[in-house]
Amino acid sequence: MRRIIATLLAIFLTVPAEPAFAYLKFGTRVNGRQVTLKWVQTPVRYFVSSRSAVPGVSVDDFQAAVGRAFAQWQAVPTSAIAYQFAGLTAGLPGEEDGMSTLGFRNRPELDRVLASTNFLVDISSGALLESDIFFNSSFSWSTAPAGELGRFDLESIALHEIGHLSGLGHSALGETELREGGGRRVLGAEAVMFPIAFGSGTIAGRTLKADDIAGISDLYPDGNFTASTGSISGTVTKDGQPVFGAHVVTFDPATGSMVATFSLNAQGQFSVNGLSPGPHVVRVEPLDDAEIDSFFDASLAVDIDFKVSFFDRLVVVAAGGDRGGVAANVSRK
Amino acid sequence: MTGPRLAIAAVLIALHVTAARAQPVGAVPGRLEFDGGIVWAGGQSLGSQEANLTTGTGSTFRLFSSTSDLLGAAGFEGRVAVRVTRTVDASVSMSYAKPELRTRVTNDLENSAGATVSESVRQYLVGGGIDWYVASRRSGVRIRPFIGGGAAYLRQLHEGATLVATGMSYDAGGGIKLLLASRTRPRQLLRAAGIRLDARMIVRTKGITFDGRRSIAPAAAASLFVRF
Repeated sequence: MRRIIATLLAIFLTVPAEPAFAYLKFGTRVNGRQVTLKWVQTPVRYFVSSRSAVPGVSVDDFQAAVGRAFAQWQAVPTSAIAYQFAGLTAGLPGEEDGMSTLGFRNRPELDRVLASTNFLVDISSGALLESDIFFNSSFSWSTAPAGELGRFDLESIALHEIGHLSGLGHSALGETELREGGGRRVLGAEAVMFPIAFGSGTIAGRTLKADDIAGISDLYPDGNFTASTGSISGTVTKDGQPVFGAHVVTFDPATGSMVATFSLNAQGQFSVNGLSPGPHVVRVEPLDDAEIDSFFDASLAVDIDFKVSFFDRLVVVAAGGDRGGVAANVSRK
Repeated sequence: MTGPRLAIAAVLIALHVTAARAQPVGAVPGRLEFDGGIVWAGGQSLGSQEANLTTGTGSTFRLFSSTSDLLGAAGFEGRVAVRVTRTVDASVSMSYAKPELRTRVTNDLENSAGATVSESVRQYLVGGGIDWYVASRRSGVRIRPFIGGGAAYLRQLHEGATLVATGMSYDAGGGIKLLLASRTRPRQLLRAAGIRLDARMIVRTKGITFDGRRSIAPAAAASLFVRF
């Protein structure tokens, strides 16, 4: 009989044996081997809980909003991921029933959690069996086309959570400031997968960004992805020593688009995939705009004691190629 | 190394091709001209881009700014010209230069010093053109002004030759040829030698460009020529 575990809420991000490309991805260990968590069969079938009505959002509204969010991920031209609405279910998200279910649950004790994604994983094979998304009905929600003051936009939050459901971790491509009463306020983000949501009343998170597109394409590449894009790989060091957890941002000076990753192993190695061909600026910054445990297991020693710096050369990416050997040195704060 | 190799090749070809050709009475001696020298071409702005984040209101929040330029650079140029009429030469030419592609990063939210990052581009031009001598090319006149224009295929290789950008380059301008020595007697292989100086305006289309726009830049060249 298969041994199955359910990992709830924030599945811990583990460090892959090899540097992950472009993005943090969820992973699990199978027989001592690191396996990237992803759907083997597509389309990914999802259900909507028929108990998903909350004030201002009917079940139909809910289904339509999450449908639009799924459609955006599916429309990424360089990704092969596909989803399919399988119907309504009386079940709730979080129940181990073999169905990937989206719906509301009232979790007032999670006073900073708008929504969360959990997974059911076959730990003997690493196969992803089920993934549920719950939206916390203790907050106020809206599906209005232009958003509603004081209510969180369901489609924006669904877009983020569906990224998780697909296997993507968080992106650090954003800037925040600390609130006086605790928590952080987002000044700006250039990834739907940034871990902190915009405030209520906004629909600014309804659109996938270059970083999201690179991430999903890397995880589920279609035939043209590898040939049409390139990658940059290298190391981050400080005082000659490798840096773990440095946030590496690539910037295309022709288009302004940004795709980011982290240095993800003990050698300080990083690799960014899904880049447009052409020269890129490489910026390295400490992971200081969100809680580190939003990205990494708290047991991992992420180095944030260094200044923002730029690699001193433009790094040219060729379609279908990897520009390796980028040695980015950072200095102590 | 490109310059000397080109010159040697030019002389060998000239010896082979032109030995038996006679000169029209009153024209500058020689029918074929080979020249090689240096050329400087001005740079082009590739424009500015902001590294923007999206705010909750949908507006932008700047992480940093960038401005990119393909800098001017000196290089080598070689040309083979043939006299078409008494006042017109047609030529084929090639040039090589190594301009720098530079991006300046400013206004960084967390690094006020900013940065300048660059790469080296290898640039080749292969094309042809027409020179028209403004003054009559009478024998004995040592300075000959000319105007001309041409078109060339542009090939630019990014650092490491990992990526190629191609386009066209069109130029128009003028200059002078200063004859240092000339011989009009028959049976002499080398008929004239001198210096060519010219200035041009260059219009480049495609190639390395961030916004798809044409660029215009000045250029100047100085070369030594020999006529056979």
